[in-house]
Amino acid sequence: MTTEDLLETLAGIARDMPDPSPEMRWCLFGSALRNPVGAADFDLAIVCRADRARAVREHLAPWCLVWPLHLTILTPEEDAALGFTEGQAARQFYPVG
Amino acid sequence: MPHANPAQFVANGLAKHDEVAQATALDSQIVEVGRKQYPDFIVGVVSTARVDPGAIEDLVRDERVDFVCNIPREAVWSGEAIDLVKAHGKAWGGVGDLFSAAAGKEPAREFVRREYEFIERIFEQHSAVVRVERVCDRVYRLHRCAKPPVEVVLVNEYDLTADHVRTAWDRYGPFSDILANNPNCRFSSEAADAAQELGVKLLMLRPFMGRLNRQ
Repeated sequence: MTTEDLLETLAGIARDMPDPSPEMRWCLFGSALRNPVGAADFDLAIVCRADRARAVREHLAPWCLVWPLHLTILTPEEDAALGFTEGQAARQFYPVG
Repeated sequence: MPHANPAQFVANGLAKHDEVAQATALDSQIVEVGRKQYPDFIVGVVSTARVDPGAIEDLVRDERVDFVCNIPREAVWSGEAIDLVKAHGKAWGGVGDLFSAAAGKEPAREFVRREYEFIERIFEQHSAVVRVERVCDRVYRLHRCAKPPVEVVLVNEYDLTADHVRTAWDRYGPFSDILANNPNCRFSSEAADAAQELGVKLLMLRPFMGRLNRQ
């Protein structure tokens, strides 16, 4: 599995999220961006409204059994205050373009 | 969604590890790990959201297995499951722990995550603590003399968000304290608000140690 394969699969999972909200952003960061096969975990940052966080976790629960996903779910305000996705050089894979 | 082949997934990752010469899935749950410098070892693999004794019983009774690995990073190990693994003289953890064990020169069976080793030593040496009880992987009940016990969840994030606090509560609650035990941890104001709403103290290590002396 290459990084591009992983990002494509993750983008498909993000697209399948029921009732997506317009500000939602999905990003991958950490060692899985360089080499998913040798990574100890897959670090995902999902920026969304606070009231969508539980739904995101529920949507990802089946995938957490397949991969060692490490989830950081944060609001746009938290992302701005902590500078999280920028500081982690996270790559946004959904939405793209 | 059950994992098609947990052992093969782990073997593929270990095969890329700097200290691993070869990693072979012997069946869907067992991986044989040959290391470059240090002794070989055997991993038993499961993939479950909650590790209870029933999920790992066969693996801990398998004499070959040195390390019991659960793939999900976002999983809970019950205290009973941890006790069972330890009683059989084996190590336990997630994929990251397994990679650390593969890198270490000590036998894989003796691996303990540094985070837990460090914090347990600190708890045990605290003058106000008379007994340290492991409730589950990230939860400790600290018994104190003439004071109510403190039930604390360890959170080891660099950046702690409100969702981390609320997910800890969903997963482990009720508890009285969250110990942000990453020394570089920053938490958002929303995380502090969420802790306050839940009636939970959110503390770094030094203030938490002081808190143990108070009611």
